[in-house]
Amino acid sequence: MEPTIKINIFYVILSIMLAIVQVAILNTNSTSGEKLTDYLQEINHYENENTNLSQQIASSSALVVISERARQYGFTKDRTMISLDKPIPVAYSNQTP
Amino acid sequence: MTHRRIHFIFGLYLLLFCAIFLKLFYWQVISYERLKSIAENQTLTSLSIPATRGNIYAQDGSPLVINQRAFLIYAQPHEIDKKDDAVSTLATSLSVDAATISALIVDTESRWVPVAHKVEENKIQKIKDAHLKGIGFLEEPKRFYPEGSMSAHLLGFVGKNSKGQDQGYFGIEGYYDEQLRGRDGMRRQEADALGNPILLGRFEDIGAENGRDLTLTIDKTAQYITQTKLKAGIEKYGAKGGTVTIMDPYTGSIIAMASFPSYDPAEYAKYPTEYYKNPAISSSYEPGSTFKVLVTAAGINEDKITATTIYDEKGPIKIGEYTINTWNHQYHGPITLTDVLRHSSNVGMVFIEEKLGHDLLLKYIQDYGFGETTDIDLQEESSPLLRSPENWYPIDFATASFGQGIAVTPLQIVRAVAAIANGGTLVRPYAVKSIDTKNGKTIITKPKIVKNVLKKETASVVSEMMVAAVDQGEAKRLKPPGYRVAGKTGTAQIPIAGHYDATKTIASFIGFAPVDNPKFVMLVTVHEPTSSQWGSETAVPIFFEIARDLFIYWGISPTS
Repeated sequence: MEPTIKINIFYVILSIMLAIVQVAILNTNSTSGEKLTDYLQEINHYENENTNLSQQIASSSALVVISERARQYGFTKDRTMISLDKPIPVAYSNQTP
Repeated sequence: MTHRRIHFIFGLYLLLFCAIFLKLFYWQVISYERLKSIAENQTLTSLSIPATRGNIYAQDGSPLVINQRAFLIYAQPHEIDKKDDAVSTLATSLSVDAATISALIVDTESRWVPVAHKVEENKIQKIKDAHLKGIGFLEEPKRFYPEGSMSAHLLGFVGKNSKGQDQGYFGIEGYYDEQLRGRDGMRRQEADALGNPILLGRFEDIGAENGRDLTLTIDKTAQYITQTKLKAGIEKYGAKGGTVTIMDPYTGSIIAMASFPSYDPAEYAKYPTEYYKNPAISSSYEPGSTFKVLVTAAGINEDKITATTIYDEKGPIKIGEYTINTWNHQYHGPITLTDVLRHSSNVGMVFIEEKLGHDLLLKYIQDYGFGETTDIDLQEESSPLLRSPENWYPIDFATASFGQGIAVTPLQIVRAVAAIANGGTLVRPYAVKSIDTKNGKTIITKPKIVKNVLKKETASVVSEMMVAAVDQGEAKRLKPPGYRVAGKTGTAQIPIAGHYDATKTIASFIGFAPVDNPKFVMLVTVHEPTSSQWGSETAVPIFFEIARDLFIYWGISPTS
């Protein structure tokens, strides 16, 4: 066969193969929207869960809640102020001066 | 004959071809826009992406205001088949009477009706479980306040504007509404018959810009201590209300701010509207004797007087037809100006004002920031106006020297006395420490010095005079031992209809500690206490109750 004819046949075969590949890819992507919807719903679900958990954490760690619980458990506020006006020694010597 | 028939058929075909061509021209050129719009509406889905409102945190990052899931419940009356079931389920779940629900969804010609806004998730579960046809739900987040009504005046609340959109009112929510609100986004994409997006189809996405998070200067523990002690004090002294404002004197950052009567921002509509305004920044009062420290500082700053200048406190002073007395009608003879503050002598203050001079008194009143707002970043701040100089009479200067006849807001007094605490500079108060822009950048509020008002030496001297006023005055029995606290009591009569009410007062105490390196300046005001009208017996105990807890919380040791 002449080289020109061979090249032409090659181009035709290549075009057909690329067309097949394009159709295959388009076909796959055209139904991926469903998966995307699923992922978006999952993201939405986790975001909602995060919001709810943040709210629960904030409620549990609120000062008004903690102080009320402390009161129920019998904790009292010790308001005695002790003033240490002399330095506390780091170490004592046991040798008689 | 044959030719004619052929020509006739040809003409017919030509006519038909022209008709088809014209029809195609009509659909594809003339009706192009209209049909394109219809096609897009059928295949393109639009989704509004609501922006999340920004959160508000205390100084340590713990949340003060966050968002919680809530829903708009709507009804499509024409689709509801079991109306009685719908009415009873909605009425029970929402705790609303059935007649109200019935009016919304039964006796109406509307095709879409909002039934309830911002309903929490736990309340709608029962409605969802009932699977009522014609009842639907849309997400509509609402604000959640983990600390309940703490800091209500400072935070403000989120209501609706005239377009039905969320809008912040008062306090931080109002001032920073645009930053907190963000901007809704929009997504338009081609969808298949089931509504699933077609990835290779048209896709336009304008992302939502969520609101910015704010971190406040508020110390949550200090705020809790302040709120609790103030509430207890108001109840104990039978007062109508009160405020406490605590500020860092060097930076102007607000550490705590509490006022009563207060409201719950989550249920603001249930409270009178007059409760919404923050009294610390928008209500005016006559400061009384707390103002004396500022006038004394002005006199010392101008070298007209010193702490040891002697004044002969002989008796009342006449100014025109008026007579100025001391509060207890006691007169001590020759005393130093330190003792004038200690005894809170009105006649002594008139002496100081005369030494200072009228013009300088007015100048210092303005220099201290009175008569104008402080520019704090809270909505609805206001300032009482100062009379123009030509409207001041000799008696006005005399009474202003001891804090009567002049109106101020609590924050203005705190800011002015902070100038004594910090060595002489007037700072701009602020409540927001930083703004998180959500794109990796944080805007930090820098402290701002407005102007220098006093010399450092003046501030030191007046601080010591205020320490003496506490240590040797009425407050000495309440001060925790070993701490140097500078302060001044105030008991101001309330002007009503052109005269002063003899029985009603606003009791106050302004102070800062520890004096040598003040961590805070605090003003306590108690409105119309009934157990005692005096600041020394109402505002002072509240001040030291709070101060004692703050010393322990911050680990501030006594100095002696």
